[in-house]
Amino acid sequence: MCSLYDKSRLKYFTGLSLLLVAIVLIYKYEVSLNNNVMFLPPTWHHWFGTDVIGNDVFLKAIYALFVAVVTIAIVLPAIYIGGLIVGILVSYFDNPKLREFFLNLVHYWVTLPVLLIAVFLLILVGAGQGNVIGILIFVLIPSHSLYVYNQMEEAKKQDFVIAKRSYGFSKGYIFSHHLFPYVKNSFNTYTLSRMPEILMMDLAFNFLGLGVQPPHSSFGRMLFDGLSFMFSAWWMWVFAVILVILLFVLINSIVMSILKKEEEVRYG
Amino acid sequence: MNEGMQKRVIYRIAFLALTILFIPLVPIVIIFAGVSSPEYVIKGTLNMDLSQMQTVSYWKIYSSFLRNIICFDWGTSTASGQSALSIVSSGMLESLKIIIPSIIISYIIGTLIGIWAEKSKKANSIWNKSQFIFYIPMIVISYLMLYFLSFVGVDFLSNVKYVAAMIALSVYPVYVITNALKKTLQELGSSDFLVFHMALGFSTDEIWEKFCYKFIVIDYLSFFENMLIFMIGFLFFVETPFGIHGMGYKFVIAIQRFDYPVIIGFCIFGITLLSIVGLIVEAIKLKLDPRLTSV
Repeated sequence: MCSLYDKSRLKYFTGLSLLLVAIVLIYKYEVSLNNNVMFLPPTWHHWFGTDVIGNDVFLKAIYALFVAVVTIAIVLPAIYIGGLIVGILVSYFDNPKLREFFLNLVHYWVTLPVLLIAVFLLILVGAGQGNVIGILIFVLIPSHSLYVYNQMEEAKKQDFVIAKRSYGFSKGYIFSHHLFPYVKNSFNTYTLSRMPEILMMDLAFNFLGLGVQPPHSSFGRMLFDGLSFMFSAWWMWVFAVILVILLFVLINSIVMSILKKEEEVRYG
Repeated sequence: MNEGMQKRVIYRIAFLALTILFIPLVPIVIIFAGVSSPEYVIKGTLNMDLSQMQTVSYWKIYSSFLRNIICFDWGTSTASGQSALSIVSSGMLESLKIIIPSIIISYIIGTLIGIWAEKSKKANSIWNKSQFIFYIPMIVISYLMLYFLSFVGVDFLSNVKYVAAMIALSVYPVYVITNALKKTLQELGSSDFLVFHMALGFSTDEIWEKFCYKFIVIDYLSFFENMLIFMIGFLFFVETPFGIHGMGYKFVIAIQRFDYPVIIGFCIFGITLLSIVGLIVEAIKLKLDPRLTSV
């Protein structure tokens, strides 16, 4: 996935992340030296102020950022691998009955309110960020595998694949050496383009209180808590809003940059 | 109707039936896996008490809940004592005040921006540069709008809240429609289909009138289902900040109170409604699109 992305930019992000970690560690040490004060607006000692029980909002926001990044970092590769395996298997075995059942099931699945189903399942398995991640993977894999399947079927019609078949190459060889490399790039892009969706769903689960549980925090939780203090303690939600916007803009720029690179690779 | 489409409709109905058969398993899991206090779930969804529950079998609970679902009796709220159906239906009426205008606005604004961006290079460049705005989650837009309204002194508890919620809800759909329309216009403009009909002697306007507009309508119809899924799913992101007592707001309250009958009611309602809408959309597409019916 990273091969498409600018390596210099990757170094820049790594450097920025390390700097952020260093700042947080120093800041955390400084905060621990000061007594926590409830409902304190932003000051030199508490950059983003404190919340209703005296927790530092900056530290909460950094933790929430960490949760969001970790969620994406787990869900994205999981749906990539899961989607790839299911999509390739259905395309490989080419059983008409199985294919018909799979396609209709996925078409039905994508017309369902995935968020409602995910909430429904979360209530069954219980709240917690681990469960949120598991359920996100579960609900997103079907549409991902459908994408792989469609791409594979399209690739099968290409002349070079027909030629390889006529040369007598095995099905497994064609799949691993020709079909997979053919669909890989567009599948990488498709997977990355789902980052905003994952983040949005994570935000929704946490807003409903089904994700990270107190005393830990997440953006969704911070926004929900901040709603009661919308006008009396703006710092409780404003910084969360700013960070969410920055995160979405960053994700958008990554996706756009990859799309541009892919277009350059494909069309020269 | 060709065989493929027929099968698709049959599969959809079959999967919907399976979903409805699966849902009654939820109270059983909740009760016997100890996810929640069984007495609340039993009392809420099945109108039984704990002593009665000890004597009944899993099958009895399953079958009576399934019967209740089919008869639209989803139990009573463990928090307010109202029936779950009345909570869901009153929430839906309130939510429709936002959803219907949002859909209309999304289509109108999305179409206008799409045409504008396709006609002028400058507009296209502005659109490409400003796309990131549409990625911002609606919850963030709702919070910013709420704060802004309060800042400029507008009473956000009046009907203004519906307008604000409607705008927040339409942001992402506008982005989707604009991009899809742009893509369709580009594809149609350079298609063999257009060249072929021009060679047959049709003028460009005639081709657009007879075929292309129809394809765009079919495209719009395809988005309708997805847009509805998106709007119903994320409705609570706009209703909670603005205090609109619609489905989303009531869903959040139900989750906060662990009010299982209402949560289950919302899920059944959402799944059934969207499945039915999906079937209707499929039927209309089938009627409009000759490519689907031809063998």
